[in-house]
Amino acid sequence: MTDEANHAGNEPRARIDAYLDAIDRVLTASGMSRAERRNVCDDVETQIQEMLARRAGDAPSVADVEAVLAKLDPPEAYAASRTESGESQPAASEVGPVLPARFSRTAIAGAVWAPLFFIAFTTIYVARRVAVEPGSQPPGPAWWQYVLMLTLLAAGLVAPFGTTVLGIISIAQIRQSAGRLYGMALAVFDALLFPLLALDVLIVKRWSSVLANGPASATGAAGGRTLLATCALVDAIVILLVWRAAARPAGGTVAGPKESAADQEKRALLAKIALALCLGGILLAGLVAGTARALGHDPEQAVYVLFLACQIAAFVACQIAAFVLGVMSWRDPLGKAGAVIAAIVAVAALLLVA
Amino acid sequence: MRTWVPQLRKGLVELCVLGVLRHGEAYGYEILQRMSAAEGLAITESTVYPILARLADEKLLTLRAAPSPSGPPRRYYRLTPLGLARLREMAAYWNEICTAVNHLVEGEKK
Repeated sequence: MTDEANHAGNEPRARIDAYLDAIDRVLTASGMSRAERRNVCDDVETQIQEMLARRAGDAPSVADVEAVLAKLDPPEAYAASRTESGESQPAASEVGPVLPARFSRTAIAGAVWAPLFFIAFTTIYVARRVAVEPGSQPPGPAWWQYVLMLTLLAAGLVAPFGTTVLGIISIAQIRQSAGRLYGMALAVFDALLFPLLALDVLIVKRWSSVLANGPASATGAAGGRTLLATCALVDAIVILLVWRAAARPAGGTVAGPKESAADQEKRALLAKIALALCLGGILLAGLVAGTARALGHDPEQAVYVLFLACQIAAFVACQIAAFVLGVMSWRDPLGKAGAVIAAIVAVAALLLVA
Repeated sequence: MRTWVPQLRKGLVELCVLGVLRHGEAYGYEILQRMSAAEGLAITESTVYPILARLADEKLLTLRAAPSPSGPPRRYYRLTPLGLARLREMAAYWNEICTAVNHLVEGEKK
C-alpha cells in the first residue's frame, strides 16, 4: 500500500478519534471517572461503527464519517447531559477542555525559577572589595541588597527543590489532562535538571577519587573525557527512562489525543533520518581512523590535520543529531535503533580517544 | 425546548434504562434505539451512555463484551440483583407519583 493510500485509510479513523477525544475531554471536565469515560467512549464508538457499517459497508470514506458524526450529539452535549441526569455541573472554568490545548504554566514556572539558582549561586561567590578606613566599621549592605537577599537569593537557593517539584507536578498534570495541556519536554527538564546535576556532581567526585589513585595516564585530559562521557551516558539513560514513563498517557486508550497519521509519518521520517545519520557517522569514524593512520606516516602535513578535525566534527555532529532524532522518534523501531547505536558509538569513540 | 421538559425528564432516564434491561441484556446502541423509539422521551446518546457508565460503576449493571459483525466488540449490559431492586423501587415510586399527579390534574379539570 502506498503512503497516500495509508493516509487516506487513516483519515476516517482520525476523525472518529478526534470526536471521541473531544467527548473524553468534556467528561473529564465534568469529573467523570476514567473507567466511566472509557465505557462512554466505547459505547459511542460502537454506535458510530454500526451507523457507518449500515451506511457505507466495510470501507467508509471521510464523507461517510462526517455524515454520521453530524447525526450525533456534539461533544459539549455530554456536559449538559451529566447535569440533566443528576450529576454535578462542571464549573465554567472546567468546561475549558473543549478549547484548544495550552502549554503547561506549571512547567513554564519551573523553567523560569531554575535560573535563579545559578544567579544566586554566582552572587554568593562574587565578593566585592570594600575599602575600610582604620577604626571605622565596614559598610553594611545597601537597602536594595537586602531586598535582593530576601527575594532573589532566597528564591534562588530553594530553586532546586521548587523547580523539581513543579516539574513533577506539571508532568502529572499533563498526563492527566487528556490532551488539554502540553509541554512534557519542558516538564521533564524541570523535574530532572537539578537531580541530574546532583548525580553528575556525585559521579565526578567518585571518579576523581578513583582516578587520583590510578595510574598517572588516567588523569588529565583523557580522564576528563572519560568522566564527561560517563556523565553524559548516565544522564541520557535517566532522561530516556523518565521521558518514556512520562510520555505514556495516564488515562488508557481514550485519555489522550490519538496520534494523527501526519504525526506518524513525521515520526517515521525522523527515525529514518536518525538511523541514516548514525550509519553515516560510523562511516565517518572509518574515515577518521584512515586519516589518523595516514597522519602517522606524515604528521607534518597540515592539510591532513584540518581534514581529520573536520571528520571528527562531522562524526560528533552526526551522532548527536542521530541520538536526538532517535529519542524524538523513539516509538519507531528505526528511531530506537538510531538512538541506541548513536549513543553506543559515541561513548565507544570517546573511550577509544581517551 | 421548554425549560420544564429537561427538569421533568431528569431522573426518568435512569428508570427507563433499567426498564429496557428488565427482560434481558442489551448493548448501548440497542438500548438507545429502544428508548428513542418511545415517543416524547427524545433521548440521545449523550444522555444514555453516561448513565449506563454510571450504573455500571454503581454495580447496578454488569458488562459483557461480545464480537460485533461491524467494528469494535459490543458491550452488553445486564441488570444485577442490585439493579433489579433499584428498578422495582423506582418503578413503585414512579407509579405513586403518576397516580398522585393524575389525581391532581383530573381534580383541576373537574
